[in-house]
Amino acid sequence: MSLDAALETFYVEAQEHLELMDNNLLQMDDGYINNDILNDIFRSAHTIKGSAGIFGLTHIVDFTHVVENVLDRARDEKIVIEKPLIDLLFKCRDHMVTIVALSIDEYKQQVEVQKKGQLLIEQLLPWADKQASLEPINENKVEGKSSIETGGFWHISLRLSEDCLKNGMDPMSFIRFLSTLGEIHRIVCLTDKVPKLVKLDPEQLYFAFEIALESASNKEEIENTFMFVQDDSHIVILPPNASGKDFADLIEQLPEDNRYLIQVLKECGTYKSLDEKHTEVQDNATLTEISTKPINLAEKPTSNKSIKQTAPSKQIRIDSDRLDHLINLIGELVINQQRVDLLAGKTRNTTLIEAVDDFESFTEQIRDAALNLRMIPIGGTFQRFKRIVRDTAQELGKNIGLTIIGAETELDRLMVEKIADPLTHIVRNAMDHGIESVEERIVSGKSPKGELILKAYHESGHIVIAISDDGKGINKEGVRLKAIEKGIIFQHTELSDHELFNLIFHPGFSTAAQVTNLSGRGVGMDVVKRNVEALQGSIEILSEKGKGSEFRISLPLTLAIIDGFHVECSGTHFIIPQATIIECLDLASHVEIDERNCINLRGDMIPYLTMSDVFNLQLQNRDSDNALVSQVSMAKQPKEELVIVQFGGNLAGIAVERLHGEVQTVIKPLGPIFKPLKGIGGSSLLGNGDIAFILDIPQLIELAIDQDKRMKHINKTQE
Amino acid sequence: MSQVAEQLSTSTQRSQYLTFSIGKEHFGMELHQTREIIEYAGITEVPLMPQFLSGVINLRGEVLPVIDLSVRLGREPITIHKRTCVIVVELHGYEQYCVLGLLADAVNEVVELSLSDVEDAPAFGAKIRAEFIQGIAKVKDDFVILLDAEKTLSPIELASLVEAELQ
Repeated sequence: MSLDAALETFYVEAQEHLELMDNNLLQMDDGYINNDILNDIFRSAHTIKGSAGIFGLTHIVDFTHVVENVLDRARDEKIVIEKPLIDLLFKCRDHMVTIVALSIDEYKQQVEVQKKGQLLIEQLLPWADKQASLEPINENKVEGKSSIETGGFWHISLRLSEDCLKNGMDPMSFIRFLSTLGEIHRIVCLTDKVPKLVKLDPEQLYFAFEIALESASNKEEIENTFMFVQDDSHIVILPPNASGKDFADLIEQLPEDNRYLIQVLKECGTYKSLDEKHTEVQDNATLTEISTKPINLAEKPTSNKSIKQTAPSKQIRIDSDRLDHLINLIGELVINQQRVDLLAGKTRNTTLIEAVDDFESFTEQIRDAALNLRMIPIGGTFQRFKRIVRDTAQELGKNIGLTIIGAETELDRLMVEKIADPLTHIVRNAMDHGIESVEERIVSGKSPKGELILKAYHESGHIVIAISDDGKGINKEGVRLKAIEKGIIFQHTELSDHELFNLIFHPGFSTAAQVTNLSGRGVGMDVVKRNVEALQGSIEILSEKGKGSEFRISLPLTLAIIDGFHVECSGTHFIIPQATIIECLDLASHVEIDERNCINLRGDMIPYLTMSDVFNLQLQNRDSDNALVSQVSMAKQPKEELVIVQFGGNLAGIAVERLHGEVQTVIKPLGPIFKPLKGIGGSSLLGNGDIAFILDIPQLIELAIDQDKRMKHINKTQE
Repeated sequence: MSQVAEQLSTSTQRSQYLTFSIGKEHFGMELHQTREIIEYAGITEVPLMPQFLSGVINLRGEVLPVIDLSVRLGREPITIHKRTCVIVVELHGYEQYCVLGLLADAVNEVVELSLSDVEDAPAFGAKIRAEFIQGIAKVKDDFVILLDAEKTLSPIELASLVEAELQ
C-alpha cells in the first residue's frame, strides 16, 4: 500500500466515522444516551485522531483531541450529557468534516476555519478535563520533571512486525504521534538484527525501539497509538512508576540478550534494576501487553444497526467507471444474445433452440446480478435527513420529528446520488411551508410535534419515494391566485386538483408570502421536477387541506437495461416498459363507449389513445402505394390490440397493431437533437438489428392530451 | 480572408477535404470531421420529426440520427437510389460531442486544398445561409462548397428546429 493509497483510505474511513458520529449524536439527541453510543462516538473521534496522527495531520489531531477528551469524560460519567453539549458536539462534528477535507496547507490558509475551530474549543472547555487539554496538545510537554506523579517517564518497548513496512506502516509515524502525547525523552534504536548488506531486504523492518516518554496521557491513550499494528507486534508499555520487577519481566520476555538489554534500558533512563530498593513492589503497576489483551473498545458488539453500514470486512470498493464498463458490455451481450435467439429460431433445430434458451436465462441472470452491483440502499441518503430535519426545525423554531420507512429499499447508485438534492428541497419545503408552527398546531387541535415521513418502497417495477407531512396541506386557492397573478393560468381556467398542484412545479412559482432563508425563492420546485424527469421518473402531489401533503417521486429501478414489451404500429417498432403494463386485450372485443375513445374494462371507463394517431404514423409512410392500400384496409378492418398501462395510479390504454412480446431492452439514448420529442424516452436495438423506440408512458399520455386539446380548440374555432 | 484561408495560413497551409455530391451540387467537409462512409441500408423514421431529420440508423450498436443535408440547406429532399450513402460525421464542437449521419448521392474524393484554392463565400447567390459556408474551392472544373459542419449541424440548432416542428 502506497502512502497515497493509505491516505485515501484514511479519508474514506474518516468520512464513515463522521457519518457514524452524526447518527449516534442524533440518537443521543433523541434521548438514547447509553454507554454503547458514547463509546461509539468516542471511538469514531479517537480513530480519526489516531489515523490523522499517523499522517501527521496535526490540525485534525489538535481539534479532535479536545473533542475526544470531552467524550472520554462523558464516558466516565464525569460530566452529564445535556442538550447544549449535544448541540456543541454536532457543531464539532461538522467542523471535523470541514477540516478532514482540508490538507494542512489548505488549513493554514483558511483563517475562518481556524477561528471557528478555536471558538469551538473554547466552548468545549467547560466540559473538558482542565489538565489534559487546555492547551493544544503539542505544548503539553512542559510539565517538567516535577510532574512525574501525573506524567513521568513511560517506558515503551516496541518490537514491530518485520512486515510493518510492507503493510504501509512507517514506525516513524508512531514515534511522531507519540510526541504529540508528550515529550519523547529518549529513544534507543536496537540495530542488532540488521543483517549484512547482501542479505538485507529493504522492505523489511529490522529495528526495535526502546522509548522513554514523558506524558500526562493514560496508558490507554498510549496503547491506542499502536492500534494499527498491535496484532502482529510485541509492544510493552510500562507506567512511570513501574517497579524493578516489571523491568526484569520485560527483559525476560524480549528476545535480545539480557545484558545488552539492560544496557539499552539504562541508556533510556527509565530502567530500575531489581536490586534497587523499591519497597513499594505494588501489584497495581501492572505490565500491559497489548499483544495479548484486546483493547476493550475495539470490538465491542453493538446493537446499533448503523454499524452495519460501515462494517468494512464484507465490502470492496470498485471504481464506478469499471462497473459502468461492465454494465455496457452486458448490454451488448444482451443484444447479441437476442440475435442468436432469432437465428436459432430460424433453424428449427430444437436442440439448438433449447441451448439458446438456457443461454438466455443465464444472460438474464448475469444482467440482473450486474445491475444489482449498482444498487445501494437509500438508507444512507435518508439518514442524512435526520440531521437536516433537526437543524431546519431548530432554525424555524418548529417541533418536527422525522420517521424513516423502507431505508433498505435499493436504488441505482447514480439515482441515489441525483435524488438527494430534489429530496432535500422537498423536505425543506414541507418543513417550511407545510408544517405549521407549534402554536398554530395547538390551535388546530394537532399534536404540537409535526411529523415528517420519508418512505421508500417498490411499486409495480418502480421505486417510490414519498415525502409526507401532517401540516396544513396545500392552499389550493392560494396556488390558484398566485398562478393567475403570475400569468401562468387565466382567470377562468378550470383545473383539477392534480393540475392545480402541478402548477407548483411551474418555473418562477412560489406561494410563500414571505421569502425565507430555507425555501421560497421560487427557484427549485421546477428544478426538482426537471431532476426527477432526468432520471426517467415522475413526481406527483397529493394534498388535503388541514391534514397534510405528500410528494411522491416514482423512479425506474435502473437506467441502463429494462424489461420491455415490443409492439408494432405502421411498421414502426416500439418498446413499452414492462413495468407499466397491466394487461393486453383485443380492442375489438371491448365495446367502445360512444366515440370518445374509451373502453369499458370490467366496469371501469378507461381512455385509450391510438399510437398511429398520436405519432401520425400513416402519413409518414413513404412507400406511397402500400400506404394507400394499408390505409384503406385499416379503415375497413380496425383490428387493433390494446395495451393497458398504469401511470401514477391511473390506467390508460394504448392501441397498437401488433404485439411482439417481451424483450430485454438495452436503452440507447437518442441524443440531444431528439430531446424536444415527447413520448419517446430512448431507443433500443432489436435482435435483428432494427431500431425500436422506447415509450415514455407519462409523456406519451400528456402528448395525447395536448393533441386532444388542440383538436378541440381547432374544432371550436372552425365552428 | 475567409475562415478557411485563415486556418490554412496559420496551420499546415494545406487541409484535406472530403467532397461529395447531392443532386448536381458538390460539397466539401473537413476530413477530420468525417469518421466513415457507409452504404445506405434503410433508415428508421422517428415519428413527428421535421423533414431534414430523415431518421435513425444502427451503426454497429450505436443509434445515430441521419440528416438530409439537402433539406437542411433549403433544397428538395434527397431521392434515395442504389448509390445513396451515409457520411458519418463527428462533431467535437463548442457545444457537445455528437455523431450523426448525412445522406449523400455520391462521395467523390479526398482533396488537399491550400490557401490559393479557396475563395470567400459569395455574399449572395449560393442559396445557402452564409454562416454555413466556409468558402468555395475550385476542384478540377467544379465549384465545391466547403461547409462548416459545426454550424450546419449544430445539435442545439437542430434540436430547436425539432422543437419548433413539434409545436
